[in-house]
Amino acid sequence: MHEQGLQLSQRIRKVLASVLGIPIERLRDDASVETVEEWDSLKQINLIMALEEEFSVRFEDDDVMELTSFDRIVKKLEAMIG
Amino acid sequence: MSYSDLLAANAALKESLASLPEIRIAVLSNITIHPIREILEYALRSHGIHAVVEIGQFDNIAQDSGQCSHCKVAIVFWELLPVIENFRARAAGESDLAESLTAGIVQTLRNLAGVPMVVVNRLNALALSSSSIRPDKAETICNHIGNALASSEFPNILWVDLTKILCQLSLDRAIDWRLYYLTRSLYTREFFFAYVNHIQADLLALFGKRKKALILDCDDTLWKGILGEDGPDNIQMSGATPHGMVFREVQAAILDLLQSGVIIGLCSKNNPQDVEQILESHPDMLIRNRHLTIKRVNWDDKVSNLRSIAAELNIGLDSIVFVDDSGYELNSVRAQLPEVECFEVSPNLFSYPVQFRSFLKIFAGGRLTEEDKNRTELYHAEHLRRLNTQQHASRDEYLKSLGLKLIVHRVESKSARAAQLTQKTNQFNLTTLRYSETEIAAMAAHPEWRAMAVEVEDRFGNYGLTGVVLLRLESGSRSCQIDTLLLSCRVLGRDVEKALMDLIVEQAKSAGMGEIHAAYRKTPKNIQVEDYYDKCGYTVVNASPHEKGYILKIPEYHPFCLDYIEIQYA
Repeated sequence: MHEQGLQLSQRIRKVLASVLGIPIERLRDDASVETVEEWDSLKQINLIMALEEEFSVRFEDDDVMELTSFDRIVKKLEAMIG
Repeated sequence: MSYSDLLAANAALKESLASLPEIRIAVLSNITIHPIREILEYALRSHGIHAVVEIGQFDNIAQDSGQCSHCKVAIVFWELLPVIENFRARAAGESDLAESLTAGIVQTLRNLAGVPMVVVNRLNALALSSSSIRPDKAETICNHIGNALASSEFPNILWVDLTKILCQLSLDRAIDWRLYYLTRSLYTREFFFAYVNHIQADLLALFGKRKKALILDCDDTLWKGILGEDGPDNIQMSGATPHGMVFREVQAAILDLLQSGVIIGLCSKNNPQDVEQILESHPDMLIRNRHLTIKRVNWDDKVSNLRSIAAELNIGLDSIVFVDDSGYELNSVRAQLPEVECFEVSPNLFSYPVQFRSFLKIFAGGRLTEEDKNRTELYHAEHLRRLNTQQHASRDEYLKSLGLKLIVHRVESKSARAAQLTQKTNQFNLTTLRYSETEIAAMAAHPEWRAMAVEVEDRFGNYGLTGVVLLRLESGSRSCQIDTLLLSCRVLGRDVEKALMDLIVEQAKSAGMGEIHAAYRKTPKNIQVEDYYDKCGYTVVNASPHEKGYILKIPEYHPFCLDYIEIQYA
C-alpha cells in the first residue's frame, strides 16, 4: 500500500514537471500554486488535461480549479483510484 | 504519445533546434486557447522547424491581428459562444450581431493580408445547435456570416471546417464545459491534437517539408493476394468481390493524387516481368505504367530500393511516403530510414480505403501549379535524357546535344510557382529563405527588387519553371544583394547555374549597379553549393561555420559565356 502510494506520487510529480516545464527535484511535497512560480492559472488547465489523461479519470467540476497543490492532487487521486 | 510526454518532448526539441531561426506563429482567439501552444509547436518541431507559438490576448482578435507582421502563420479561433453572450448582455438582435461580427472578421482578415498563411475556422454553431431540428439562433447567425464572407477573397487564407474535426471526435470528447465556464477554455486536449493534425500537412508544406512521392508495395497493398503464388487470375482488385472493391478504391485514391503532382512509384518483391504483365494487361488494374514514375520490382531489400528511388528522383528520403502490408518490411524501413513516412495497410481490410484516404492528406498543402500537374511527364523526359547521356562520349558534346535554353520571366506572372520553389528547394539553394506567394508578389511589385523566374528547356522537353533569383537593389550605394538564388535539382549538371550567374550580373549592370553582395547560408542539405560563389569569381568578405558573405565587383567579372545555353527573355 505504501509502495503504491509512492508510485502514485512519483507519477504525479512527473506529470507536474512536464506541464510546468521544471525539473522534478523542484517538486517538493509542499509544491503548490503559491510556492511554484511557473504554476499559474493557464498551466492549471494543461495540468488538469494531463492528469486526467495519465490516470484515466475525470475530476468533478469544483476540483478543476481547486487541485492547486501537490498534496491535494495526491489525496484526490488516491481517493479516486487508490 | 501522451500529453505530458509531448510537453516534455516539445521542451527538449526547443533546445535542439535553438540554432535554427525561429518561426513565429500567432494564435488569436476570443476563448482561452493556450493548450494548443505546445501541441502545435511539437507538430512542427518534430519535423525540424523551430516553431514558436504566440497566443494573442484574450478576446482581442481584431486588435492583435494588426501586430502579426513578424509571423509566418496566424491561426484564428473566432468562437460564436462568447460573442453571443456579449450581445445578450447588450440586448442586440441577430442581424446586428451578424453584421457586426462580419465587419470584425473582414477587418481582421485585411489586417492579416501580409501574413503568408492565415488559418481561419469557419464560425461553427454545432456546440450549441446540434440537437435542434430547425436552424436555431446560433446556426442562423453562422449562416448569415458564412454567406457574407463567401464573397471576400483572401488568397492567403486556409478555411477550416470545424465540423469535420468535431464529427471525428464527437462533441462530448471535443468540448469541455467545465473548462469553458471556469476558465473560458472550450476545447479538450483531444480536440487540439485532432485540430493540429488536420492542418499539419498544409503548415509543413508552407515550410518546405512537403511530401513528394508515394511508393507502394504491390501484393496485398495494390491488390488482394500474392501474385507469385496466387497467379494473375486470382489476385483481386475489381468491383466483383468485396475485397476487390477495397483495393479498387485504394487504387482510385492513388490516381487522384496524380493531379496534385505527387510522384507514384512501386517498390515490391516480385518477379519484374510478372508485375509488368499486370500493369500492361490485367483488365482490373486502374494503375498503369503511364502513372508510374519509378519502379523497383526485384528481390533486393526495401531499404536499399527506397534509397535508390530517392537518389534517382533526386529528392530527400523525408519527401518519401511508403505503403506496405508487411510489418516486417515497415519495421526495417522505420528503423533504418526514419525519415521515410510509413503507412501500414490495416489488417481489417474494409477499413483500409477510408484510413488510407485520410492518411493521404499528408500530401496536402500549397497551391497546385502547372509543374505539379505535369510532373510525371517531366520525369519521363528525364529518363530519355539519361539514355541520351549514355550515347555521348564527352560531357561537352552531351551538353551541346541538349540544345539548352534559359527563358527568363518577370516573377509577377509566376509568383505561385516561384513561392513554391522557395519553399521546396533545399539542395541548390544559397540562402534557403522561404517565401509565400503574397511575399513574392510584394517583392515583384517593389522598385527595389529585381525578381526573376527562370524556365529551362531542351530538345527533350520543358523542365518548367525551375529557378528563382531575387535581387535587392540599393540604388543609393550602387550595390545589390542576392537575397535568393535557387535552382530545382532537376536542371542541375547542365551548367545552367553558370549561365544564371552571367544573367544576374547582366541584370545588376543594367540596373546601374557596381557590385553584388551575396551569401551562402549553410543548411544540412545545401552543401553542394558551398563554393558556388567562389567558382563564379566572388571574393569572401566574412565567414562563420554557418554563413559566408561574398562580394563581386561587376567590372571584374569574367562571364562564362556558354555557347551551348541560349538565353531568352519572355
